[in-house]
Amino acid sequence: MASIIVALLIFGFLGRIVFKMVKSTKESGSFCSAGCGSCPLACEEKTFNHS
Amino acid sequence: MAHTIALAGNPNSGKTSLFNELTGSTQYVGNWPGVTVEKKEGHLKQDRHYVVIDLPGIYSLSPYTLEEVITRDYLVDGRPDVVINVVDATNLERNLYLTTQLLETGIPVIIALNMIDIVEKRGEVIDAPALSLATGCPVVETSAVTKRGLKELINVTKNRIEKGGSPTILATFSQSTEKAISAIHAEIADTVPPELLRWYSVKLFERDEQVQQRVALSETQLEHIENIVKAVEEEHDDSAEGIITNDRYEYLSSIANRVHTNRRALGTLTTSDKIDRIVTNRFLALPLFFLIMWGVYYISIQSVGEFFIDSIELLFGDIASDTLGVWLLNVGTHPWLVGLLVDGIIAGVGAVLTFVPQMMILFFFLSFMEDVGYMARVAFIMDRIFRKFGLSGKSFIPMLIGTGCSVPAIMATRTIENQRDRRMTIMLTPFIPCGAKLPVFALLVGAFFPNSAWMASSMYLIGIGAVIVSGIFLKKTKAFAGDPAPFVMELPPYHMPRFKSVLLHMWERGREFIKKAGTIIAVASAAIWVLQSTSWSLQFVETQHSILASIGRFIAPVFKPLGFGQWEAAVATITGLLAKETIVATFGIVLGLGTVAEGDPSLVASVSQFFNPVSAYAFMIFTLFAAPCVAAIGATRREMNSVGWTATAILFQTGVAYFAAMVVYQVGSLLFL
Repeated sequence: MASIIVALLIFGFLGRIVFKMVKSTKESGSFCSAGCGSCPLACEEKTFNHS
Repeated sequence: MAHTIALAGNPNSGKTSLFNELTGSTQYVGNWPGVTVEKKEGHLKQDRHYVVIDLPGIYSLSPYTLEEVITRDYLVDGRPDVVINVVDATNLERNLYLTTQLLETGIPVIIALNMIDIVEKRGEVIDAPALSLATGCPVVETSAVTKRGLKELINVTKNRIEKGGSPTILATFSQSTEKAISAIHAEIADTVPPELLRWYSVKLFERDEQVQQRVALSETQLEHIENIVKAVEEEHDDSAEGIITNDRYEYLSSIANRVHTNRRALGTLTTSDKIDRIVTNRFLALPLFFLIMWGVYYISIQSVGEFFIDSIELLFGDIASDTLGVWLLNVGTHPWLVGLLVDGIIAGVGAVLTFVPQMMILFFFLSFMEDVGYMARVAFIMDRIFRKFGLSGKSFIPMLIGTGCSVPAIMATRTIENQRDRRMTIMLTPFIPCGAKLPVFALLVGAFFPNSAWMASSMYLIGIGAVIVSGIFLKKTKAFAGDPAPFVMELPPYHMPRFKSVLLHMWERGREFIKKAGTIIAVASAAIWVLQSTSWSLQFVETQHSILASIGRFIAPVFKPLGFGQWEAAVATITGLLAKETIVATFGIVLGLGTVAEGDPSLVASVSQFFNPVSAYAFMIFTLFAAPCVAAIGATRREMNSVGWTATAILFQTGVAYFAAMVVYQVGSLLFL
């Protein structure tokens, strides 16, 4: 039981990261969203919405 | 319906600072010109019905640079409701040059007299009402840094939008030029929108080719306009563009004389000028720069940074790895799941996060130097050196940005108009060590050179040296031959750093580093652990018989002449393509380091299996120059717009890396081993 819960947590966490990275890379057409370490600049055409 | 407010002004006049204050954004503000290449958009903090556009800094609306094209296309086609012209009050006359052009676009203009606090500190006075009268537009004294005048600026902007209508057209030029422009007016009145009549007339007078193409005029009309322009040129004995420029400056000089009092006498040195006499001195500038970089590295990597590492070690070493691992096994979790989590993900991420304190301190100092205005001087110093070797000084701005990350640095090369120089800059920018490479340097310096701050800071100097040497080499090839593009750069005055701004920069850079550790590094660590724990038949095996080891052994001979022919080091160079921090994560997992502190005997013992001091330095050199991470390769592909050029860039970088590391190892072995 513990193994199932831990496996779900680990693979859920890793799967979510991969899914988000692939999705945002496809949407933006750039690797910016993959998280460039210490990137000081915004990605292209970044829009800020303060709701 | 949303109203649009555009921010336009000269480079480094404070547009992005004002944008951040108005919208609550945290866009990157750099104390050197040319930080904003693209236009940025946000909503007014107090009222979301207003959209604020931050345009790139420009000196005029001529179509000579990418920034000018972006700005003028937006103003002519986008037609914002109002333009806030951010004017650097410390350079009034030159900044108002753009103002006269903005007024010609027929869009209402509000002048934000920014940095007014610095003007006052200098004991100078600018008569804002008189300036308003002379330019025909509202003038608000502001300081984006101290937030002075921002409320008034918002109110005046809203009122101007409600009022509507076009701005007053100023008779900026001499009588004969104005007469000629009026004649062009009459010629094109039916062809262009009435609010843009003045703008098109002036541009056609200047023979602006883009405007000539945009306005569909008949041959007869074009000939008539050409005759009008030629007549004025003969009268003034000057080119049309020269006439317009001279007339504008004469007009602005008369305004400045009226509104600006206590102007500094010619030849009087400001404090900034006095500091620059030392900092940019042709003999002192470089040694001073190297000394400063050494100090920065010494403090961040080898003294203060080390102090904070213990707490990270405690978190990832004792609490996360040991306690969590034991507890998971006790509750019946399968050992390979515990291994994946503790020895894979936590060990990999932990190895990278160990360096967060050092990175944060380094980022603090880099932000501090930038905010004070020193980094702009560095670009100036490098321009002087670069030009001697046929490189444009413009190439150094992306390289300054590259100290953080190569991706935006590669994007920033868009400001280089010359295609050859731009390609070359894209190829050479990754030679400047980005933040992601620092943990690799810190790890190896900590293990082999714990008492030498020069070893880490030498990476910057070698990076700059490699840019110059490669530049000389590439300029001799047919693809890159030619004179460097001219580079004009204004040095911002020195000012006391804004603590909040420095901390914000530090945090923004540090946050991305941590975010990356929690995402791409975590996934990579898990993958590396699986590869180093399983065989090709997917059985759990000892590391030495794993998939990772067999891949490593296959490629390791290539690296033997470089001094790191063991499979573990060879594999790390490949995983580093994903993200450079992954090299550290790979060592963390393969060696079972978890967290690593400088000078730690276990770290030295573990890493010594693969390296001696010379091969460790060769590995650092290889990491410095080799093909950057996938994100930077993606950016190269996008900016080069060519698979062939991208492949050339990767091959060149990796070739330089291989050659330089081999020289270091072979020569170093002869001298030191």
